[in-house]
Order: sequence, then structure tokens, then C-alpha cells
Amino acid sequence: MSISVLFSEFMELMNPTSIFNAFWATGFGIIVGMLPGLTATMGVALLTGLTFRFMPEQAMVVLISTYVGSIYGGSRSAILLNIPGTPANAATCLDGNPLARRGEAGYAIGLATTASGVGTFFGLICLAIFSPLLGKIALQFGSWEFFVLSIFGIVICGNLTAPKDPLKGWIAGIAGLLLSQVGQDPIQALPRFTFGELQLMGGLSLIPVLVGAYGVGEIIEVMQRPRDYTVRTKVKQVIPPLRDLFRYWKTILRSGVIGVLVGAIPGVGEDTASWISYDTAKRFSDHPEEFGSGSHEGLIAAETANNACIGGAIIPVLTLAVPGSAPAAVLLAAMWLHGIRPGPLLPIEQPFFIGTVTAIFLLSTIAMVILGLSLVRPLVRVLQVPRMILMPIVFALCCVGSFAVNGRLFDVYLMFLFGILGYFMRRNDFPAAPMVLGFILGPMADDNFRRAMIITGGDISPFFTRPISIILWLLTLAVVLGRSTLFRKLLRSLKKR
Amino acid sequence: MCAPPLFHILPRGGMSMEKKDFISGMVLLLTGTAFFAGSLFLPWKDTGYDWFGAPGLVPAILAVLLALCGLRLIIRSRKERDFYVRLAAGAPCFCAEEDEEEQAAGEEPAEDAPRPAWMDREAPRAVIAAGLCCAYILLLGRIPYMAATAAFITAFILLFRGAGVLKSLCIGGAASVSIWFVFYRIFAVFLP
Repeated sequence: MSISVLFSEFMELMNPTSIFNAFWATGFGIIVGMLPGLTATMGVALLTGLTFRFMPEQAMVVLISTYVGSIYGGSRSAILLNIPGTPANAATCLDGNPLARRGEAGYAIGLATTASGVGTFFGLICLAIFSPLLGKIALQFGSWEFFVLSIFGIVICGNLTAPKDPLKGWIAGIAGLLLSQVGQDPIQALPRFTFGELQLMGGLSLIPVLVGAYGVGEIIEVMQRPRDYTVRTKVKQVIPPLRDLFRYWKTILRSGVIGVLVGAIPGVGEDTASWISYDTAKRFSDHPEEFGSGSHEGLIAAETANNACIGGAIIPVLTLAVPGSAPAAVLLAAMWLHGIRPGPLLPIEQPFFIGTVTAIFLLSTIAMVILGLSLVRPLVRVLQVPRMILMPIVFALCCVGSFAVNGRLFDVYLMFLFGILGYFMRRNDFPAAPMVLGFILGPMADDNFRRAMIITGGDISPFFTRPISIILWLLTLAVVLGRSTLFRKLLRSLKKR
Repeated sequence: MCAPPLFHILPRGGMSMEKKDFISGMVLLLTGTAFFAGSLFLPWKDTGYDWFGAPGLVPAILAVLLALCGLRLIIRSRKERDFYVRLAAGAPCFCAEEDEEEQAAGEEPAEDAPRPAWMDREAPRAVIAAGLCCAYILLLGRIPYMAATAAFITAFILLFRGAGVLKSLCIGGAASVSIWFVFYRIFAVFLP
């Protein structure tokens, strides 16, 4: 994509409505991200239903701004409370909170804001450059590749979101794939697992499932074990520390690359990106001993990567219709709701859409930096609102968001059921992200698997002989074998010999 | 320092991960079997394509995979105790150490009034939160939206001791009117 396209798309966005929407949505995102118990996915899912009647472009402005704002907003509670607002900011706690305790809370917030801004900007540059390139590769994909891609997505997402017990990640992914089979099948429109219920004919709606799994599950868990969110650190002045940014330019570049690459992997997301980036920065640092006790470099590494990851996560959404993270999955669902069809044909059907998305990212980055540096004291006050007041209001909003899409109470009940399921999954250490990814990829896997089988008359060999499929199978196999104890023992014994 | 827990002792879960995994495994095995049986009842012949185009093919494969994973979880919970020992040893629990330190130091959060016994236990808190949410969604569509929302928010705040009666009523009323105004009037979103 040329700079001129990006510039013209950005100038088109420079109207009062878009600017207003970008600012309030980024502010909303910062608040959602900042409040422990509310996640970026929940924020984006909530607004997807609520912006259903917006024009598609304005809905995208709101949702992308919320996404960017919430990933950044989590750093605020990580610094001030030592509790990450979203899982993506867990690594930020390690150095952000020690800085705050040393009396440098304002400095840490400034550093996190500018690093997040630079990270998002890096992500959007990669989005603009690599989306058209990946789009060209995606045009080579047939049904075989799309099926193997969905398997690869589930396996790698399950592996990375449940690092201690990948089996549970894979189970969640398979469960998501299976639940997505409810409703009419995509080839012959025959009802599956509907029990004659008319409401189930169209399948389980994505938004209630997402809002339930991420929102309601979280509400019950927060109410189960409430915490005191009193900010005990004084925030004097927030300074954008530009000198530090120039000093650590290598860390920023490295973290940006890690963020984008991790983001592009299906379903993995910002939390993994920030941990990998933090760990890598520590390994390459001249002062690794400072990490964990208020290192500026550590804070920059974590915050740059998690925000750069957003751009990376959008790349597969636009080119393959495969989400790179859980909030990106909601964004994909929102695009479908608004009649936008992401995938290999997007550059042909809507040639300027990638440019529009990139320009929206730029606008929300600007809004994030301005709001992040200016609204410090009001945000600290919001952070301290008791959860027993906040959570019922959030639940009421979850109900409105689920109801708004189809206008039926069945979706509200569905949301609640998935909330209970999400709660039990959390209590038993099953990650929600692979289930959501499976739920999104399920129809694609089913449709492409059967279509491929019909084309070849039941011959499964093309799944294993086509070049892109071979690469994806090898990567999937490497992920599974890499986690197998037996395989690791075998490798160790081979090394000894 | 981590944010202190509001309540001095809230026992976590109680059940061991082995037992939880055994139950999860059983549930998954049964779910997988049920879905497999359900997919067998779908048409496999006369679909116009042959068995490989049948609508039950992919659900059947996924159901078998889910059941096998459930079986693996059951076997692991019964036979591989080492796994759980390793899991417990390497499990990073966010803020747990700080909680313990604070509890050991006997740091008690300030309280205004004595709480009922259920508020100090995790399970009843979760059940009551879920129960209130369930009651709210059942009220939706049966009584006017604003009344249901105001009643739910007020009851939730009161029950969990978030504020006094008057403040809870004010918050409930203001929140329901705000949601109605913003989403129905401004965003033109249908409300239940």
C-alpha cells in the first residue's frame, strides 16, 4: 500500500464524527482495559452489539479505537496497583509497579504511554506493508489449505494460551469447533443438533458466545474473590520520556517485530507477545539485573510488544479471515455483521479497506497518546470504583450488547449459558481463547474439509501433499511434539549419544 | 505490593486439580459421545455426495476427538500423579505470595459493619452473583427494561454491600436511565 493511499484514507477520516468516535471509544477502551476484571475482548464484544446500527466505517472506528485503548489502558492498573488490567499487561507489572513505588508513577505512565503509542504505530506500518503481501499468498489457498490452517490455528493457540497444560488448550479448541457445528450445515443447509428448535437453525450467534465467555464468566469470578483497588501511589506529573525512547530504540524495534509476529499467529494474542518480548529484552539487555525492579527497558519492551501485536493480529483477519487474537476475533465477527467479508478476496472486493483500517489505527493511536497523557487523575478515580457497583452495570451492558444484534432474548440466555461455561472453564484452567477461535474457525474447517473431499472424491492425500499444507502440517506437528514428554526424552537421549 | 484482598480469608476452590480434571474428563467424554451419537442420526446417504459430503462427518470426527481428550484427562488424573506435582510446583499464581504475606501479618481490611457469613466464602458469592444475573435475564421482556435494570443493579449493590440503601437506589436508577438514554435514544439500539 502506498503512502498516498494511507494519507488520503487518513484525510477522509478527519471529519468531526470519526474524530469524536475515535476519542470516546479510545477513552472507553482505556477505562475497560484499566479496570481489572474487564478485558479488551469484552470491551470490543460489548461495543460490537451496541454499534450494530452504525455505518460500517464508523463502527470500525469505534471498535478498533476500543481495542487499542484497552490494550494500553491495562498498563495503568499494572503500574499503580500491580494488577494487570488485561492479561496483556501482566509483564508491565514487573517493572511498572516498582517504578511507581519509587515515586516515579508519572514517569512510568509516560513511558508506558509513549511505548504503547510507538508499538501501535509500528503495528500499523506492518499492517499496511504486509497485509497486501499476505493477501497475495492467501489467493493461492484452496479448501485443503484453509482446513489445515484452521487445525494449525487451534493447535498453536491451545499450546500458547495454556503453556502449563496444552491438552486443556486443545480441548477448548475442539470444543469450540464442535459447538460451531450447531445449526444448518454450510453445504446442504441440513439442520444439525438443533432439536427442532427454530432459534438454533442459524447456529449459535457469535457475539452472545463471546460476551458470555469473556464477560459474564469474568463478572462471576470477580464477584467471587473481590479485591481492594485503592491506589496508594501519588501521581504527580506525566512526562513523555522521549530521551528513553531514543536510548532504547533497539529494544523498541525488537519488541515491535516480536509483537507483530506473535500477533499474526492465530489466536495467540497480546499477553504472549509481551511476555516473549520482555524475556527477549532481558536476554539482550546490558543491565538484566534491573529487570523486575523498575527497569525502563523492561517496561518499554512489554508495552511496545503488546500494542504492536494489535496490528499483527489484524493482518490475518483481513487477509485470511483468521483472527490473530481474541479481540481480533470479535473484530472479525463485527466485520461480518457489517457486511464486510475479510479474506483473500478483500483487496479485490474492497480495495481501499486495508487502507481505511490502517488510517483508523493511526487515528486511534493519536487519541490514545493524547488521552493517556492528559487524563491521569480522572482515570485514577475510575480505577477505584468498587467492583460490586461496577459489575452489575457491566452485566446490564452485556445483555444489551447480546440482544442488540438479533433482537431476541434467546441470545441473552445463550450469553448467560456461555458465561457459566466460561466461568467453569476458568476454574478448571481451560483457556477461553482457543474455544472462541474454534468457534470462529469451525464453519471454515467444516465447509473446506467437505468441499475438498467432494472435489477429490474422498481422497485425503491432497491435504498432505500440497506445498502450503505440508508447511502447516509440519508446523502443527512441531508444536504438538515439542510439548510431548516422550518426544523430549527421546531428543535428550539422542543428544547424549 | 499487590492489592490486598477485601476479605481476610476466602478459601480457594477446595478441590484438587486431579479431581477437577477427572470430573472435566467425564463431562467431556459424555459430551463427545452424545455429539457422536447425534451426528450418526444425521443423514449419511442421499446427501447427493456420498459419505464424505455428509453433514455429520466433521461433527463426528470432532466428537471422537473430544471424547478421546476427555479419556486422556481421566487417565492422567488417575495414573499420572507426577504431572500434578510438577504443575503445582511450576504454577505461577499471580499475587498469591503477597496474599499469604498479608494474611500472615494479620492485616485486616477496615470494615464498616459485620458481614453475613456467606460473604466470606467463594462458592456462595459466585452462586449469588450468578443467581442475580439469572433472575435479571428472566425478568427482561417480562417487565419494563428500566425497572428490571434498576431493580437488578440496586439488589446487586445492596446484597454485596457495595453501598447503602439510598445510594444503591440512586445508582440503580441513574444507571438504568443512562443505559436506556444512550443506547435506545442515541445509538438507536433495541433494548430487551
